[in-house]
Parts: sequence; C-alpha cells; structure tokens
Amino acid sequence: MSDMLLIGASATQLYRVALSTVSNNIANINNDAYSRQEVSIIDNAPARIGVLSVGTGAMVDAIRRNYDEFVEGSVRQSSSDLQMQQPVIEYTQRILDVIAAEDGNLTTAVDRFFTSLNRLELDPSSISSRNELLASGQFLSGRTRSIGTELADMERESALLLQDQVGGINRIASALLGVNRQLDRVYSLEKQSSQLLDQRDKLLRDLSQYASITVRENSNGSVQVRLAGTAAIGLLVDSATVRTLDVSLAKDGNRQGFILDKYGASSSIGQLQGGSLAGLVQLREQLLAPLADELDYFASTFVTAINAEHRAGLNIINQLGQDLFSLVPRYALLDTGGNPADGLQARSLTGTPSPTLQLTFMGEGTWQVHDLEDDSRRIIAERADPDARVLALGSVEVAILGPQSVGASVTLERSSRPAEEMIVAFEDPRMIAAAGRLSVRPDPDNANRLAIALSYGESATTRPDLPGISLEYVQNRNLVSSLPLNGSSPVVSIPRSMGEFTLGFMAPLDGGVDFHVVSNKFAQLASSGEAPADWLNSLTGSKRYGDFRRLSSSLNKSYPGTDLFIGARAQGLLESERLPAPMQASRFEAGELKLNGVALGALDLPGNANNLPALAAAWINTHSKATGVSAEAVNIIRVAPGQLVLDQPLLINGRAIVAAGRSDVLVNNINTLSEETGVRAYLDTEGYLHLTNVRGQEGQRIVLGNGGPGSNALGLSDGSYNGTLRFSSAADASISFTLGTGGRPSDLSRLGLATTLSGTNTGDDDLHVYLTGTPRSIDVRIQASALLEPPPRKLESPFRVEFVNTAGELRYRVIDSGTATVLHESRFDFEQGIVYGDVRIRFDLAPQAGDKFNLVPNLDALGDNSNLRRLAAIENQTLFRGQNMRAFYVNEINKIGTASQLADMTASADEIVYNENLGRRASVSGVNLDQEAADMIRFQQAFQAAAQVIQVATRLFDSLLAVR
Amino acid sequence: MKVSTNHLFATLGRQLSDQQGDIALLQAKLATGDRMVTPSSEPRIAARSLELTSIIKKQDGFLDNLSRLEGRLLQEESVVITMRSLVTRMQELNIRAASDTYVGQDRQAIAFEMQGYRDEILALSNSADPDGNYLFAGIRNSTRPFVENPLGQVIYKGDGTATLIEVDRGYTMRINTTRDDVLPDLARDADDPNAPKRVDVFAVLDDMIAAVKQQDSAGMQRGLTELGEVASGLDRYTVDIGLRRGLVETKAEITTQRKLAMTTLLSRERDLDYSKAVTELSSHMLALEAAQSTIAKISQMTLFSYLR
Repeated sequence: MSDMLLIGASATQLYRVALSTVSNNIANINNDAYSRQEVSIIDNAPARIGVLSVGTGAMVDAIRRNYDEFVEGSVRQSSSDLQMQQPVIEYTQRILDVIAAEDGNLTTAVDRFFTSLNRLELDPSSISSRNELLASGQFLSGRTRSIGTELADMERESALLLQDQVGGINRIASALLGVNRQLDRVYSLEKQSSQLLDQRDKLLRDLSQYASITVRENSNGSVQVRLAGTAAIGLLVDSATVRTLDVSLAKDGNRQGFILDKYGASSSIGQLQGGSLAGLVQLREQLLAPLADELDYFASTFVTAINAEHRAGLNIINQLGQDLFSLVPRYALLDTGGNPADGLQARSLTGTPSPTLQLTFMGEGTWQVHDLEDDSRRIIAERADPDARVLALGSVEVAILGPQSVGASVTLERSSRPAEEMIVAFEDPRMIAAAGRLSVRPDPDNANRLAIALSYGESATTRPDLPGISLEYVQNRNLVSSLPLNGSSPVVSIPRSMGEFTLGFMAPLDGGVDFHVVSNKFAQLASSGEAPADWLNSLTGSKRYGDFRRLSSSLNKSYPGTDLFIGARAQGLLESERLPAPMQASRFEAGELKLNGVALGALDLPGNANNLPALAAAWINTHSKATGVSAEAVNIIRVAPGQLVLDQPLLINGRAIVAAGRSDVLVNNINTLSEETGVRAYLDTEGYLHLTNVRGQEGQRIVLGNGGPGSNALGLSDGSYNGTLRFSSAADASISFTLGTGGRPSDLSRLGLATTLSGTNTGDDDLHVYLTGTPRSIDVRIQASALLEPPPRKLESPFRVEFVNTAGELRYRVIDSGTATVLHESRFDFEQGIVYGDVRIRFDLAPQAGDKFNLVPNLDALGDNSNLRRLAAIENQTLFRGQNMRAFYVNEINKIGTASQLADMTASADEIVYNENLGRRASVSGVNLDQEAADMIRFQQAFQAAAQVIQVATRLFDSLLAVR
Repeated sequence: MKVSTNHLFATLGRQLSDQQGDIALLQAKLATGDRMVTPSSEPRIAARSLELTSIIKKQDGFLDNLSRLEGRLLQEESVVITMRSLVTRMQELNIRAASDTYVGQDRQAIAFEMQGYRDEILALSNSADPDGNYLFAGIRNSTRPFVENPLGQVIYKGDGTATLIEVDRGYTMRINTTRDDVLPDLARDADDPNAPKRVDVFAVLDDMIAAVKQQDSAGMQRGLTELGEVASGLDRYTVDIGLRRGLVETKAEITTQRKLAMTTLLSRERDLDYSKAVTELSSHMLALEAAQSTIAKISQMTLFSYLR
C-alpha cells in the first residue's frame, strides 16, 4: 500500500509545481519578454510485481518554455522591415512641412520676388517699388537660407541619431555577449533557464529594430549574430567576442560607411539591410543630401542668372549694375604641412568666391598661393593691418596672427552650401539696375528706321581657352622659352590687368620673324611685319577671330587700354649685342628704322667688314641733332679672374702673346704689342681682365686664338669678337628704335638689337601674341610683372557701328567714337547680328551700307525697364535642369512627397505582417488568462484527487493496522 | 488559434488610437474646410496647389499691369484729344487769318490767340502721370521732354526708346510713348528738293504764327497744310490708343477667365467635401464607439469571473 501513498505524494508535488507554473504565467501576463511556461509530466518508472508491471505515479519532467524559433525569427525580420520605414516617414513629413509650407515655401517667395519685379517694371524709377523688390529679394534669400539651415539641422540631427543607434546596437551586442556567456555554462538547451532565454530573445528583438540580423542558435541556446547580408565579415557577437560597430560620415554627409571593429580586425560593411539604421542611411543618402544639393543648385543657379543680367544693366545713379544677390561663403583652413592653421583666420568678403587655395609660407612676408582648381601659382606679399598681417586673396582675407615657419602650408577651403549663404547684396534701392546699359541712336540719315534689340552677356570677352604661355604665370620671372612659329594658337597670352611686360627675340638676319598681337575682340593691334597670307588664312579659317583685321604694321595705340611698343628702347643708355658681320654687302634703306620717331637715312655696309660698329655709329651720329641720341662703337671683352688659363698660349689678331702664368704679365705683354694688334688690356679693381681696342680703332673686330688645340689663355673660345654699339642720350632721355616702312626685326638684329614687344594691358580685353617667320622656333625672353588689380568695371565709351559694302559683301565696322579707332570689322550676318564684347545687336531688317548706329551709355533713362524685363525673363527660363525654377522646386517637393507616401504605404504593409507575426508569437508564447484559469482548475482538481489518493492510502493502511 | 491576453489588449488599444487619430485629422479638416491640414498629410495636393497658386498670382500681376496700362492710356487719350481740339481751333483761326477780310490788327490778335494755343499744346506735351513721370518722354521720363531754349525753339530732351511690359505670358505691350508717336516731325519741302527738311511740330506752329503776324499768306497756307498733318498725326495716335485700349480689355477678360479657371481647379484640389467628410467622421466615430464597448465587454469576459 505504501506505493499508493508514494504515488499520491508525488502527484501532489507534481501539481503543486504545475500550479506554481500557472501562477507564474499569470503573474507575467503583462511581461512582453516572457514566454509562457508549461509543466511537462512523465510517469514514474513502473514497479514489477511478478509478471505485472505496476505504475508508480507521475513526476515533473521539465518546465518548458513555449517557444518557436521560426516564429521568433519572423517577428524579428518583420520588425526590421517596419522600423526601416520609420525614419523616412518621420523625416520626409518634417521636410515636407518645411519646403511645402503654405507661406514659407520657395515658390511663394519666388512669386513674390517676380511680382515685385513686374510692379517695378511699370515705374522703374519708383523708390517704393524698388524697396519692395529689395524686400522681396530679402524674403526669398531669407527663406532659402532658413530652408537650407533646417535641412542642414536635419542632416546633423539624423547624423546624431545614426550615431546614437549605432551606440544602441553596441550596447545590445555587449549585453548579448553576457547572456551568451551565461548560456555557455550549461551544455543543453533543455537545461537552460527560461528567464535567460527570454532575455536573449528580447535582446535579439531589440537589436532587429535597429538593423536586420541573422541569428544562428547553438545547441545550448547561445547565439551567433551577424548583420544581415554581410556574410562572414558581418559577425557582431558570438559566445566569445563582441565587435564594435562604427559609422563614418563622409564630409558632405552623402555617404556613410559602417565599420566593424574599427581598431581591430576591421571589416567594412557596405549596406545594412533593414531596421531603423538602414532607414536613416536611406533617408540621408537618397533624400536629405540630394535635396540639400538640389536646393544649393537652385540657389546658386538663381543667383548666377540674376546677377549676370543685373550686372549688364544700369542703375538709377548711372552706374553699372552690381551683383543683386551674393553668396557669402565660409572658409575653413586645414593644415597641410606644419600646423600654421592655429595662427591663421579666414574672413570672407563679398565678391567672386575664392577657389580652393593652398597657401605656403615662403619667408619674409611672402606666401605662395597655389590655386588647386586651375593649378596656377603666384607669390603674394602680406599686408600689414593694425591688428594683424593680412593676406588679401580676393573675396577672402587671411589674417596671420602669429609667427609662421617657412614651408608651413594650409589649404583654404570654401564651404559650398549656397542655399545657406544667399543674401541680397545691397540695401540702397537706387542700386537696382533697371535700365539697359547702352542706348542705340540710329543716325537720322539711315536708309530705314530699324527696330534694334540689344542683349548682353555674350561670352566674347571671356578668356578663350587657348594653349600658350599666359603671362600671369610668368610673373616676376625672366623666362627664356623656345616658341614655335606660324602656329594657329598664340604663343603668349597677355591677360587683362597685366602690368609691365616685355617679350624679346633676336631675329635671324636671313629670315624674318614677326610679332603679331591680336585682341580678343578680333582686331589685330600690332605687327612687326606683314603676316604671311597662308598663315592668316589658317587663322581666320579657324573662325577663332571671325575676320582678322589687318591694321598694317603700325601700332594701334588708341586701342582702348593697350600701350604697346615694338622695337628696342631704353632710357639714357642702350647697349647692343655684338654686331653680326654678314659676308655680303648690305644696305639700310632710308626710313626702315626710326630712332625717337626720326626716320634714319640710307646706309651701305660692306661685306664682312671688321669695322661695322664704327660705320653704324657714324651713321647714327649724323642724325644726332634730330634724335638726341649719340652712338659709339666699342669692343670690350671682359674675362673673370677665375676664367683665365694662364699656362695656355694666346693669339690676338694673329699675334702670339705670352701669359707666363701671371695675369699682370699677360696684361703687360698684350699692351706691349698694342701697336700691332690694335688691342690693349687692363685689370680692374676686382681683377677682371678687359680687352678693348686702342684709340682710333674703337669697335674693331678682335680675333682670339691659341695657335693649337685646347683653350687660349683667356679661357674663351677662339674666334672673332665683333664690336658693339653704345647708344646714349643726354639727361636719361628715351632711346627708342622702331620699325619704319619696310623695317623688320632683322634690321634691328643688324644693329645688335633684340626686337621687343612691351607694354601694359589695362583694357578689358585679353591679348594674344603669335609669331611668324622662316625658322621653326625661336628663343623668346619673357619678363612680366604681377597682374594689376582689375580696374573697376566701368561703362564702355561710346562706339558706333557702320555698315559698308566691300566687293558686294555687307560688312560692319565697330568704331570707338572717341578716337575713331576701328575696333573690329566683320562680314554682317543677319541671323547672328553683331556681337561686340558682351553685347549683341540685332535688327528687324537688314541694314544697308552707309547706315550708322551710335551706341552710347544709356544715362538718365529712369523710365527704362529693359533690364528688369531681362531679369523677369529668368522666371520662365529653363535654367534649372531643363525646367523653370518653379517646376524645379515643385518637382523636389513631389520627390519627397512620393518618397513619403511610398514609405507610408510600405510601412502599413509591413505593420500588418509584423502584427500578424506578433499574433503568431503570442499564440505560441503568450499567456491567455482563460487557459491559465482552466489549467488552474485542472491542476487544482488533480491536486485534490492526489490528496484523496493519499487519504485513501492512509485509510487503507489504518485498516490494515486495525486487523487483529 | 490561441490569443494571448496581452496581445488581445495591445491590439484593441492600437485600434482605438488609430481610430482616434483618424477622427482628429478629419476634425481638423472640417474645422478649416481644407483637405490639406499640413503639407505632409497631402504631399500631392501641396505640390499641386503651389503650382496653381503661383499661376493665379501671376494672373493677378498681369491684371495689375493691364489696369495700370489702361489708366495710362486713358490719361494719354484725354491729353491727345485736348491737343487735337486745340489744333482744330488753330486750323479755324488760320483759315480766318488767311481770309482777305481781316486786316493786320486782326491778324495780330489771331496770332496772339494762336500763341496761347501753341503754349497750351506745349504744356500738354509735358503732361505727367500721378507719379510725376512725363508721358511723352520715352524712357527718360524724369526729364521734362519738351523744353524751350532761349530762342523760343522747342527741344526734345526725351528718348525714342519704347518700354514694354508683359501683360500675358510672352505677350508684351508698350507702356511709354515718345514724341515720334504723338507729335512726329514733318517733312517740309525745302529750297533743295533733294533734301527735304524735317521740322518738328512746334517749329510748324511757330512758323505759322510768325506767318500770321507777318501777313505772309504763303506761310499761312503752308501752315494750314502742315497743321492738317499734325492733326492727322494726333488722330492716328488717338486711334492707336483706342485699339490698344480694346486689346487691354480683351486681355483683361481672358486673364480674368484664366484666373477663375485656376481658382476653380485649386478649390477642387483643396476644398473639403463636407458631406463626404461628415459621413466619414460619423462612420469613424461609430467604429470608435464599437471598439470601446467591445473592450469593455471583452475585459469582463474571463474565466476567473466564474471562479468562486
């Protein structure tokens, strides 16, 4: 009977445990992490009684967690999917409320700006309408800035959120490592604590909200977690290690990269597949950053377009239009060598934004400025301001606050967020340029009254991208360069605002080499000789200059802003090179050369004469009275002390001189033979040895030799040393050789003079230099000073257009009205109209030969709204990626709106799936009160029944004891 | 399938808050009468209504321009008509002066009267609009256009350039007027027939008055002919003004129609359909009430209630 008692006892125990499990289930009913537990019951080992096998009751096998690994995985995945949409929904809605706000959107601001512009068109002189336009401009730029700033704030905020969530992942991963370690203490899943497993699943669920994960469960319940889609490199945590996730944000906020274990065995992870982190990345890369970029594009395109038109106009005080809007860029200084940035401070000024520059300290207050965008370099000096030394770099100033070490360098970088930088450039309403810049006054005698339309902004004045040396890169240098001849590209370009420059070459005697200077506005300004016809044809054929206008070989000094000189000149004293001595007799024709404007007469020179300098000097001196210049022939050979080779022989004009190892002996011996050689020598105070002609033979050729192999005692090469010419004028007056009729650079070469092209270029035009002639190339010495500050923009001086008929072709000439200089001549093309500088002139009917049109600054035209109309036209121009500005902006709103709706729809679908999975999970692991109540009754009854079994067993036992 | 108690309540709670959210949105729409409570709630409508609003504002701008232009034309018309009547009066005086019945003294009186009309025409030609801009000065409208020099000759200081304003997309009309429009120069036969001389209107008037004064009948005759040309010039311009006024009216009508169409479109996009919204609201409220009462019932239904 004891068996029965035991069975009852174990059953009560069993059901007590079962009832506590039910109680525990009820107690955890609102615990989300909890999985319902269930008692698993097995029967005890049966007892054998003879052939019978008798049951011995039941006991608790285990308390099982209700859990389905597959359902749990589905919950995680659907949670990742759903969470991925959340940041997109939240942020796109915020963006929409900013960019499409009823009053704050840019379309409204743009409408307001153009409405004000239209109103001003009605009465361009009205100050109140002008103020209204400025206010609308400020509203537009203010709205652009504030939308730009809000987007930048969202960008920053989402970056913080991103980093915060990465931190969340790392915290969860660390916690999972802890759980894994505890789980590892038990070898079997069956034996694991339910509470630990619940904790594990909760952590995994939390993790999957941030990012989609792949979970592999080990046999003991510990897990290995990877970031989904990253294969083996994406291991986040397992039983042994946890790897820290890091995010790196690209500087422009566009790209972000995820790195695991950055400071260990790091692995870069391309993209996350789900979860709020992937949503944030998607938001930032596909919506926020592109939108900010497009807004910047919008602002910069608008500002550029408006400014270009505004600058072409004339304001109420008769000045050229300034920029109406400006972008005030911000600059950052980054160390690239040494750490000078600490002592430097960048300040932005208005004006054209500076490109990225590298500044390197060169010592003594000078810096090398390297433009990293066009790779040009220049040296500039610091300016001393009261509070600091300052480096002026156009639209940015760098203040140097501390000492710098030579070679230290920084990069000056401009932030390029135009949308955050847009402002109205001025406050004075009178500065609005409403009127057109020029006014056309047709000549009253013209054949017809033509309607004439002017437009501005043609790009003819911009620097063409032609190869060749640009003088701005030669600044302060003395460069000798071998330049090709007869090319269709200029060899040297002289930019606007060029200070003093000189180009010089020694033309060969037998082949002419000529300079040709051409302006951007298509006129040939100066030539040292007639240009070869085939070369000219190739140049005009290339259409680079339209019609190449020949201005003969004379200089066109009245061409605005140029001051060119071709010839050879100096102040007070001009020394020639050694004169060549051609074998044949030669002749200077009368008038070929001019000296100080005086045409020199004819001169016959014998062939291979040794006294050419003396003949030339005498010739020059016959003109001294008129020219104020006297010439003398000299021949000086100067030898440095170190150059002498005193143990070598020496022949002077065929006579042997002995050096005997000493320079004073050499001098003595030369002078002893002076009578015969016509050459004397002396040593100067620095020990230089000078050879020169004896009196009466000045300028005569000196022939040096050594009578055998090797160098002569002077260390000079053997040969003839011709004399030179020394031109001088009283009181430092100018000595200026120029080319007269038929004169060529080779004529200057015959006098030992290089032909130079020199001057300045302060006009608003770039000049290009070409070389023509027989040789393939020639050495040109190039010197140039620094670029000048560009002159302030000023109204062009009046000019006129005249039509002429040349050989049945209608041509036009552009003539400077002040000086009557022909600036340009070309065939007239009715379709193209006339382009001169940035002005295009169109006619409604073709003009006729003899027609004249005067173009004058459109002063005091207070009622002229033509420039406003050009500004207003921007409203409908498709400058914004092929759309007008309104369509462009609305399109951006639509993009975000579509993304928002799409995310919303996706989220709705994801939410259904997620809820369904939650339901499935709840059906497996959830606690249902009714079920628990039923179980409770069930177990209670079983418990009571088992108790009865004990009672019955006791009674039976008692009965047995009572048997006597 | 088993439903966990926790899940059951969570689901019910979510449904309740969804319903309440929908009701709040509908309520906001009903309160404003606007389908778009915030741009983010209706992005498509937001974008579309920006476009439409923009077009409507543009039409307002055009209408503004048109009404300014009309005002300007009315003003010019009255000036030109007055000028024309003065010219007519001068024509009558000229005919009288040319008549042999008049003697020298009468002609002096006529010349005096003519001089008055001539001065009146000069004053009219310097008329300005209410903002002080001269009507017939071209783009130099801040400069008095017709100025007498010390010799009594009238010099034109204005400019011949036309100013246009946009009155419809891509359609411009002139808003300013120059001397050439109102008082163009006349060609006068000079001694040299190959070079006809150009004379301005005031020279014509002055020469004619001088002729009357000097009893120069040939001069008076020429004056009459030239006065006729001046008159027909003014008539031409009056007709021109009439035509432009007609155009302005037509344009204004078209623009108003277009604005109306756009406004209708905008209201179709934005305006709330009240009956639909109210029905929707009632249905949502019914659903909410049902959900609430379900929760109350369900929460009482548990087996534990029966355990005594």
